[in-house]
Amino acid sequence: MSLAMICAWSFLRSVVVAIAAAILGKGLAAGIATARPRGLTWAFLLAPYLVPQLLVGYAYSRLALALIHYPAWNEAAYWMLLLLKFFPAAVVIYVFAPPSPVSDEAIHCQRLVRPPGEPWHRRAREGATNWILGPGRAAIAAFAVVFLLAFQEFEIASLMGITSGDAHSPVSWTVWIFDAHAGGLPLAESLRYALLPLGFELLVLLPALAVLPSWMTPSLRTPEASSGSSVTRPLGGAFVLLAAMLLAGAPSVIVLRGAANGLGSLSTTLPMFREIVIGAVIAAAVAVLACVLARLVLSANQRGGGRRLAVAALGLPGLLGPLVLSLMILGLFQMPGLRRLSESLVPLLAALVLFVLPRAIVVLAVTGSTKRREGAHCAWLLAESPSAAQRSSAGRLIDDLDAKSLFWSAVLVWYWAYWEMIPSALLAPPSVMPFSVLLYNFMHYGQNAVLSTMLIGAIGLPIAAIVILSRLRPLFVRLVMR
Amino acid sequence: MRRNRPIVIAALVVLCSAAIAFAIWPEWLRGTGPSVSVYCAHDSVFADAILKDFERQTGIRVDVHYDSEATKSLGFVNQLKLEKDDPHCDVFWNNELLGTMDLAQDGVLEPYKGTGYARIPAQYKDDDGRWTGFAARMRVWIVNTNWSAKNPVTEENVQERFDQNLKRAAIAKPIYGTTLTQYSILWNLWGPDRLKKWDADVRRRGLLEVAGNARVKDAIAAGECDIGWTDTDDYFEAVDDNKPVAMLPLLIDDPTKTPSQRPAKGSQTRPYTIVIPNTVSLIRACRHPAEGKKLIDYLLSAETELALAKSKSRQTPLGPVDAAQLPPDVRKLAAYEGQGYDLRSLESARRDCLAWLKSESRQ
Repeated sequence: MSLAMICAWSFLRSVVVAIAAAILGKGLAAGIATARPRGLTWAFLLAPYLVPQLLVGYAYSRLALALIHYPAWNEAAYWMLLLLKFFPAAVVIYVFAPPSPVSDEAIHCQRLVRPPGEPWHRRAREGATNWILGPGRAAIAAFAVVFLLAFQEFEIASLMGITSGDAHSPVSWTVWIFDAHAGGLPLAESLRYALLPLGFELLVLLPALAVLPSWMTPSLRTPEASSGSSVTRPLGGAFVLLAAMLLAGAPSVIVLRGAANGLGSLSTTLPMFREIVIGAVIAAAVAVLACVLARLVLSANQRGGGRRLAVAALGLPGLLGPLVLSLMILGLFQMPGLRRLSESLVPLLAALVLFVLPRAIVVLAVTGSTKRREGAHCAWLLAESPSAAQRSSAGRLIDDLDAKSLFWSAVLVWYWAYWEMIPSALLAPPSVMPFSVLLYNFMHYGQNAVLSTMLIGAIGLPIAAIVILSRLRPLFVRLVMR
Repeated sequence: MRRNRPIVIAALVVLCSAAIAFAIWPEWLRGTGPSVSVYCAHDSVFADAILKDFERQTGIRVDVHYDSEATKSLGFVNQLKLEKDDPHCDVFWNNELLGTMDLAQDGVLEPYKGTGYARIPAQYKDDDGRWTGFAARMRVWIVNTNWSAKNPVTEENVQERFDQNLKRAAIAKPIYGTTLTQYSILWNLWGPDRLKKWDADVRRRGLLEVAGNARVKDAIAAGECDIGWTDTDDYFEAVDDNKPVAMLPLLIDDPTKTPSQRPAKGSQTRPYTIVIPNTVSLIRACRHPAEGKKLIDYLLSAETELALAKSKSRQTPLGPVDAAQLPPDVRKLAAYEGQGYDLRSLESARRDCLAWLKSESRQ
């Protein structure tokens, strides 16, 4: 099968998944926004999205093996996993989307003033225009984001044997190009091949970018949400629960069961400690850089004008996906002048920062609401007080209003960078190879106890570090404010 | 706060400087002593312990870059060709021979005949010392014992099964690794036309092509397929996991030879086994040749061959070792070593076969 066909199939798959997620997301958003207990609801909703793709692929590689004679079913299972994995992104977009710039009342008034006997096509065109410029914008954003996530997915496809599109396997352009490049395809050729999926991405991305920026206000606001009907709420809840069980619960059970059998193999796991630390440190540097850049971008966006173009220019590379972005960075650092840095961590850091930057911008925009910023500003003013007691109070306030949300936003960005495998595989120097690349390679040997133990280490060690850092954060803020 | 601000700023500057320095010179993380950079196509699960032992014994730091299972060894071969004028690697530990021979042909490898070179038989090393083989795997049939319960695992039964419908048979994609070696041998022995005809026939009969030998092993072990080809290291992994598998060395015929011309060893009607050595080579114009040579000598030592024989991959030593120390599984395999097809004659066959497979878009 040619790459064009592979891309076309991947495109079709992603479009269908994105449409389904956009429809599902709209149905679920109202219920989610008002559901109680709030924390648990959000945890269940976000669990499938936050479970690393490597872990999902590892868990479902055995299902793919059982479907080895039924590639169509394997493909169907992959479609379902993509939907369950990425629909939370659509829900989050609906929940946090700014209100429609065209109100329902305005649309109704327009309907009332329509001349009688207006041709149907004119009515349809006006209806579509109103939808795109008004209430449809959240749906367009949800569709575009889920499309990009599904189209750029690599790890699950690779571990489920969704590879090259011969008679026995469904296809994925990411696996095709990654394997071809890892198989020794010259970089220029890989980049030439990457143009094709890039074209498919731009088919969705450019129209979405044309419609959405004017809708995005500097501070995203949570609209008043209805609670959903008494019929859709339980159904929505059941769906969220099912998704969490399949995408987070099942992989966790497989890993924990394997790890319980593999405790004796801890000596095999410990050598990976170094790679885990490397991955965590690199991701921490990426999170700090991305959050600083995201804050600059958001403040530039508030000022408007030509700065918004700079914002778009910084955010766009990340939207192209880790594979295309990493190949481009690889190409960039082969150019004279930059070649000397090709064996350093700079290309990897650049790729990861650019990749997580759009997410960092969204996360900081959502967590840094206007009200919080105003409160934090007052607290910072209080911190200048000559009174030690007032400075101490300011420290507590700053921690609560500013540092805490910034810390957890950075943790989320760190998490994405930590588990992202493709940039590390293509750009990391051999002496500092992060754990994700090793895990990905080991996972091709199938599920086993040692690997499950390694996964527990890769998940558990950074969580322990985050817990410790979150405890130290208030102390640090108070120390600075003293 | 004003009092602490200079301290905080100074701390941040120091941290940022350290981070930038680490980003540009990542070797700092691992110290500045002697080091050697290795591209390793052998499974990291087995190679890592050997390389760590070398680090412990010599104090030379090993920066190792492992290949992915899906593109076994071919990725490194092409990468080393691309890096020919500015090599990033000192030693190439390949898990097969043909790719290494391709590199030797392209002038990527530096001749080196050290202490380990002398102990390896001539069939498994380059006359000029550009590569040396050690610790071999063997290409085998792997069968699910649920199938073999009704059909004893004999050469005849297995071949008979392979001549039937192949919807429950699996091989790795032939464009990579040891399946490429197997195809190259068939290209050489049978000629391109017969191989292409045979390949079309097995595909028509439904032979599954999966990503890598490990996937073949998994499919057989899980009972999704009855029969397939893999390497001994993958087979033993399934055995260690208590999977229902059995194996038989893959024997291939030579249509140009009469039975009387075939090796007498064993009762097989087919003369050749496929013995695939690991190979190790020094890269021409590499940055750390002295350390690289030490590593090569270490890998070619009896100590390393025994360690690999005793490891879970159970690789067969090619040089002389204390046979009493070999595990029983390895001793059985060693009996087939003498029948190994001489892979040194496959240089052009590999190139032509690979070109054909690529032209068929068999990625």
